[in-house]
Amino acid sequence: MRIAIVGPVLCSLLFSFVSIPLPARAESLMDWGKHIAEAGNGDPGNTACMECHRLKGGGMPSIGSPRIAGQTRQYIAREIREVQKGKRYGPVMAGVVENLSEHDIDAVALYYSRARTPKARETEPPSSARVALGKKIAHRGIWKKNIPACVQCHGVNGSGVPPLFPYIAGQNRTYLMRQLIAYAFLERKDDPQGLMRGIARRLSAGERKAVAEYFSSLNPPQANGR
Amino acid sequence: MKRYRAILIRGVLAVTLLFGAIPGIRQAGGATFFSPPHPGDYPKGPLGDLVKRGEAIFTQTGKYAGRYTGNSLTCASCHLEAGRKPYAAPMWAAYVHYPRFDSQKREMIQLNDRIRQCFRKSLDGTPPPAGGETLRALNAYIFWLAKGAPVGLPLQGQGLRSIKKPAPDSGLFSGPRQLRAPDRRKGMSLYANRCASCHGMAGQGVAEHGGSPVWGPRSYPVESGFHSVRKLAEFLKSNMPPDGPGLLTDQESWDIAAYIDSQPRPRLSDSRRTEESPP
Amino acid sequence: MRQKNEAARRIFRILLLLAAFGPAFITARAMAAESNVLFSPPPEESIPQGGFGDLIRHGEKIFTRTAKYAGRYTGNRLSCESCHLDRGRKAYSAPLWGAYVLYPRYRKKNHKVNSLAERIQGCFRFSMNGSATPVDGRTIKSLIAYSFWMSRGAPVGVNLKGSRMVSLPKPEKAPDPLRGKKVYVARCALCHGLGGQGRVSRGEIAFPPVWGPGSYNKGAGFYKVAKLAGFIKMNMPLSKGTTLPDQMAWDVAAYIDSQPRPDKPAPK
Repeated sequence: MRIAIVGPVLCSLLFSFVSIPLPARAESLMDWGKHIAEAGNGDPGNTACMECHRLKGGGMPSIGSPRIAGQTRQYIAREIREVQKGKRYGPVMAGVVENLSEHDIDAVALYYSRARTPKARETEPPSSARVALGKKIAHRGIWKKNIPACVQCHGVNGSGVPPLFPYIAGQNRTYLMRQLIAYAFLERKDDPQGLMRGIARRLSAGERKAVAEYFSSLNPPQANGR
Repeated sequence: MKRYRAILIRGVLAVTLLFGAIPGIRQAGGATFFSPPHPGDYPKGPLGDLVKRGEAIFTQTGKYAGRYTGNSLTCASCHLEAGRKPYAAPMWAAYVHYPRFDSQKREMIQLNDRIRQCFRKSLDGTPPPAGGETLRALNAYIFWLAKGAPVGLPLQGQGLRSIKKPAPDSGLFSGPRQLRAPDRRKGMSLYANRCASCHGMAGQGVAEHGGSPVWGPRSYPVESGFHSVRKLAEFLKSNMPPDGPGLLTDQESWDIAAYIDSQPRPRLSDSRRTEESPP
Repeated sequence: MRQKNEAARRIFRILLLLAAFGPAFITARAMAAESNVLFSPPPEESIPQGGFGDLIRHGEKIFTRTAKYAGRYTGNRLSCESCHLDRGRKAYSAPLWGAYVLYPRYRKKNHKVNSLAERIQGCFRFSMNGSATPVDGRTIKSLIAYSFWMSRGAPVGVNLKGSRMVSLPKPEKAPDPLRGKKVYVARCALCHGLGGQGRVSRGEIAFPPVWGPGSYNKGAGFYKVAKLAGFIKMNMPLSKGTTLPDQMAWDVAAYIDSQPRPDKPAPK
């Protein structure tokens, strides 16, 4: 009777000593998140998030890895899980997050949701004509094609609607373009009710580019906090 | 052969029916005008009742809205055929062109504001209260007349038709084709011949002939839009005499208008005074 | 001779037929053309410069951010655009161009012929749970100017295709709030919240509250299940209008309207 209870407890204790020492739980979810960001969770094949997203979550416009600093905890966690499930297309991310536990995901999501960093530099300056078209679509939509204004769901000026609609203002252009294309051609399937798939498909190639360029030209929310 | 002719006539009749019966279009003298709903073809229910009431006010303003009028005119005195006639400032065109913006006063003028202005400046009365039955009824009537007319677009037959203008001065450059300046005295004799039978020698109007007072205490005041030689001339040219519009030349229209316009008529302030003092 | 006569008669008959049915045919065609093509309001660039244009643009601002530009008259933070999508342009969400040409209009709701201004007052009192804006005030004038501009070219007094909310035919099964709740949780809650509270972005309403103190009151048109169902069917989820089966639209509307919301204000 006793052994039945003590056994698993002992086992888990043992395991916890074998793996990297866990910092004390309550105040440490942040630290553990930062640890994963910096060095991965220690499992083989697990890469540090910062390799692509940077330690402060600014992302890398040159390779189209997204800015994640300040996205909500729920959103970041959700996206990681969707990649794990294979519903969100992410050939690179798939390998990286494969071995993250629920606890790991929670930690790293918390860490990046609190990260603050200025906008990363775009590789090229935006074209003013595309930005103008993108702005129009972003704020007015193209209702003839049943496309609502982007800001209708992504919040004022694309600054997000917590908890699950991400900010897209100040996101890098390559990433935004890739997502729209992935939605349009059905590689990315994690959007609720297929809303983004429908919208991205109805946008023309030029319109997708314009929208991506417009939002990338804006400043991200809370870029300068902390 | 007789039979053939009968058949031919019937055929022609059929063709005219075919083209004449298309609603929404009225053809006159080669021009195609918007045509308001057929008289009597009122909407159903309370809106229809209001439209009928509006029509009654429009055509018999003194009888149905006498509290707000100060002379013998009705809305239909100027807006002929109960507001339907093209180039007599028809109501169907007015409806789609309001609201407008008065850029001098920097404010929007809605149709009801304009109607109130008519009561004050042309009917020499007091404007019916905003939101009251009189305005509601007139508004509903005008709305109905405009059924099918496109909002905000220019329509053939709207307002008045412009006519040739007199030369600025009859100096060197006035060729033979240009009009000379309007001549009141010529206008006076034309008036006596062409207008007086209905409108009276003293401009007082002859009710049994359907003529409205065109000057004097029961006519439109100085502040009215018709107190303008140009507007009046344009109106006359397209609409007078009622049994044969177009009989007057442009020059004659100008002359008559100049004569009528030179005659005495009330001022708003005057009429206020006469209203207060017993006759 | 006889033959010729016969031929002439035949021609006459044809002409008579044409006379009888031709106009009907032509108008029927014209009406069909009218009813199959949605009216398209003028592009925004065509708002004129100058004072009138300023008024029209102000109307558009009030329309899209009502609480900010006409906050004196609103009792919640919904905007006109919460129900009249695409700045009042979208068909089947009671677009302004549809309404403008249908007023003045008799409404059973208040047993009188209403002007457009009075109809707008109703929106403020019921859908925005606020107070009636004065009919001659700048707020209503701006909204009328905006509606007038948007209706350019629309025929007066004609019920245009998509000009109002759609009334759905009665569903097979009576609308059921319990079934509706399941639909709501699965398809609506992401944006409008499990508690119907809507969502906010940077202090502004991103997704309107659909019940509770911040939503429309019991005097609003949407408090009628049939109307709400029609709107949901044609417009929800946003960008995926007409995909929801009718029964679901009815059920979810029944659920939403079964939830608490402010009472209908006492008649003036």
